Amino acid sequence: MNLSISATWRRSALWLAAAIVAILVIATRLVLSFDLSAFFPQQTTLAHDVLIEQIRHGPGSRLLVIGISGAPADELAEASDQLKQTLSADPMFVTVLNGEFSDDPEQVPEPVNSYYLLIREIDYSRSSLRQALQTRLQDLAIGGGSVLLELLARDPFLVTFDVLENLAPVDMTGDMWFAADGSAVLMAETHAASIDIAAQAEAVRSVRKSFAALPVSTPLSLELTGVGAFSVELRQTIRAEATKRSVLASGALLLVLLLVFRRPRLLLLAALPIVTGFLAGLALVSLLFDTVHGITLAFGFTLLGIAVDYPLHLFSHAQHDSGDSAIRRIWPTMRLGVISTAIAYLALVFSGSQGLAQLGIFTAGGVIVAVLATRTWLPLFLAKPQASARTESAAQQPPVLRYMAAIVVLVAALFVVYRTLDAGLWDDKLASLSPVPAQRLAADRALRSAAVTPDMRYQLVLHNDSLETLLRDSESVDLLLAAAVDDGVLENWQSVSQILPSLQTQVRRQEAIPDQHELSRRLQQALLDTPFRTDAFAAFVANASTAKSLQPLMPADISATPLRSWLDSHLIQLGDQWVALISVVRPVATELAERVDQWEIAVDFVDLQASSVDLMRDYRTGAGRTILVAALIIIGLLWYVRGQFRQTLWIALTVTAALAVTVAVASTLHGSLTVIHLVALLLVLGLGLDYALFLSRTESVSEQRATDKGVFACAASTTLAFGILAASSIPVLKFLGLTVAAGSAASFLVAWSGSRLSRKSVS
Amino acid sequence: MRTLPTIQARLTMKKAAGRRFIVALWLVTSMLLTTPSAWALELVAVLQNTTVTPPDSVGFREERHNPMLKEPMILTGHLEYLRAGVLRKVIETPFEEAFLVESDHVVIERDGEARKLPLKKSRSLRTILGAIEAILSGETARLVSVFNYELSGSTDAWSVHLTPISRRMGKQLTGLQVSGDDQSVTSIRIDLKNGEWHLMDILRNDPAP
Repeated sequence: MNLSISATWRRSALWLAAAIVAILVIATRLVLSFDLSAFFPQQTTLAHDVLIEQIRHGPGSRLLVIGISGAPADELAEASDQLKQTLSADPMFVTVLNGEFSDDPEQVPEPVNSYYLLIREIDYSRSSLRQALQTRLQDLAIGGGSVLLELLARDPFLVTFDVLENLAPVDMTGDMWFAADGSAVLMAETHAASIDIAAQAEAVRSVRKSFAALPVSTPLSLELTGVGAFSVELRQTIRAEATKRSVLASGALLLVLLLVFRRPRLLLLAALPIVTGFLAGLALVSLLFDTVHGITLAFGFTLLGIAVDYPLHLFSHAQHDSGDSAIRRIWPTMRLGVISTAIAYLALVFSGSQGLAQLGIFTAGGVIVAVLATRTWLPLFLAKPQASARTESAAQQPPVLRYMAAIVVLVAALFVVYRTLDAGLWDDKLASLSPVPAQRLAADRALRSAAVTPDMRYQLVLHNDSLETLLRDSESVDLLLAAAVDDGVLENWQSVSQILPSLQTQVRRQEAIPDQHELSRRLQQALLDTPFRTDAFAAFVANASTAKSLQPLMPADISATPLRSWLDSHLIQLGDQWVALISVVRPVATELAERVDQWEIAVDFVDLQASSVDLMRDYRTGAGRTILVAALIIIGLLWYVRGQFRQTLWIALTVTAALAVTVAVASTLHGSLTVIHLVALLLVLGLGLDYALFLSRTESVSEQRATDKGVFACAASTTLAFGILAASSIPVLKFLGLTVAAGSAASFLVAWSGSRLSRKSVS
Repeated sequence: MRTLPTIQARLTMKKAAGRRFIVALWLVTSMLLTTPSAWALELVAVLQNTTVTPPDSVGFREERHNPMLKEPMILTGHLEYLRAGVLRKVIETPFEEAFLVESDHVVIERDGEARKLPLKKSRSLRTILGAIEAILSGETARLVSVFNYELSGSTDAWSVHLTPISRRMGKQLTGLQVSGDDQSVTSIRIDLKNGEWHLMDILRNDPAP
């Protein structure tokens, strides 16, 4: 007895030491990341890379959209103006727009303010100057004000406005934005990326604080939307929902275990494998990857749920036997099950996505360590039988396995899937996974509609390893697009060369600027016979002289200005390639695509919406393909280990039928399936294999009872726990919960009816 | 790339059009701060005596003073009140240009080209147009919701000084001085924040359009 106790303590000490090592590794190595794009395929097309970059850093993702309502338009306008001024002074925001031009010409953003004479083509000839002055005179005949006069004095060609018009992320007509419902609309662009939720929360707080401090007579309402605002809202909602559902699910799990085994101590023991598995899996990915994604942890812990099954099988078989004896008897089956499950999970390593690879390694490592803990640690705590031994025949007999039930179920499920899926089996839209409530998305759309944004769906993409060559190509494309605008193929476009001309062009434009004396002479000639004062354009002459000797504008110069985000959305660096993104406004897509094909410059016409669907499809088919290969390997393994073709065929058929039922249930209740369903199906595959392997064992009658009890406990607890998640309103939890709950129940019912009903009928 | 020179020429034209577009936006505001007030103040000062029924037209002579000009710019032309909600300022000298304001858009005609710009998103323009409508239809309450006013003189020779209530409008516009007699508005002076001022004399005997 003493020997047994000391062996238990020694083994426990070893496991605890291993757990401490894992915790130390996690504490020193784990860096969490929340970059969703880690879950996208690594080997993609340029279009996919562009899409991912837009999701990560696109300026649209950093816009907080602010709506103010609850008062007459004048008061709303005052509030909008004051909020714009307050937030503009906040270092958290790159820029805050409400549609109006700035009252202060000094606020023309750099580098436009300094480089406006190099950003556009200007003809400094006397006739061109004279024509420009004449046009400005006509402007002054019906326009005026300090802003216009100061601008004209430094820029008689008005190139500043031309540049700014193209630069704005939204349409700048100079008028304050009002949504259709009368709300005044502002757009505040944050420095922080939308995935930096802490910084976004800070920005949201800042907007609310500034709004609350507005000196208004009427109480106003604030509506805040945009990716960042939604992320902040969802963090709270998801956390609360996930916590509530997890507590309920865990409670349900414990209740089932208590009802089945009636021993609270066993509940504590059941937690040991899953905790050790979790620590081992996390330590493993922390060592193998620089950062671990939050989703890897969340889904990983879910997939590790199968590890709860291992102690349940042990407890069930140890009820009339010692733990050591019981584990020896069931170990071959359990080992085969865990190897099969590990192969299925490891298939994710080859899916081509870093996030999924992490998930695969985490869960495969976790289940292996969990089963080892069940094999080597838990039996020590089950030295005595849990109940008195039964005196029944120990003669072993294989169950009579029937295929018909599985075949009927499989055919029926496939028929249901075929009938319910009008729109296709898979839903590859990223939006389908969005947990943002529909009314919040509608509010966002309504506010944004106050400012016409360029159609971000279509983009022209150029790339080159030389920035200078890329910019020259972009300038050529500008000319081609201007022709396309004239022909009505699109309304407008935004390209990097509209703010950052090539070095060659900048130098040429500098050389075209006459020296100060010559420019003054030409200007004075142009001013003859006009009502303008002779010194009216002195600021223009001085600025031209400065521009002539400016260092050429480079991307780094823009990075330190408010136009950084504009540049980031039109010029990105992917590896050693510079990529220029040209956004087009209201294009006739097919015609523009045809034109682009005919251009001598290599330009990709990218449909971001189609790309996102392609991306998800590639991701899903890639993951699906590797899982299919893994399934074939598992079948081969089962055949090799058990040596019985018919039994292997039964297991494969049973698991396939259960998966088909799961797909039928999920597609009936959720419509088309998403990648979340795919990950959940992987867990169902593991559960199905586990149940089928145990129920097809050759064992004595009493052992069969223990097996039935163990498998039932596994299936009931999993179905109940995930059934609670299925009731969630958050798509990810809902998809995961229903799929696993349905899959677990189907796996048990198909395997049990195919193995136990047959035995009874035979006997 | 053989077509480059032609495309270059088109691009230059496009840029010129872009500048005109921006300038036009400034013109819209300025125009509406000027012309509508002529109609508006006539109604405020003389009440029903000066009510205008479309279609109607008056000639004008306008002096525009600003710091960039060594001498004021003198414009002549006529103002048209075509129908309810539709106003047009036609400049005849020293160059030809026309500016039409309708309920949801403005049209600028310059150098043989007409450019239509939407007005629906512009709160400030809509507010001013609303004020004009108020004056033309005699709805004084709508006018005083936009401007503070100070009336002086007699029915035969009155003057009203209008200052915008809105702080935002006040950033551009110091005030309007509208004068008139017992039949109509005779002049409008607009003072802007930068010391710029425009004086428009309404010519009584302008022929109908």
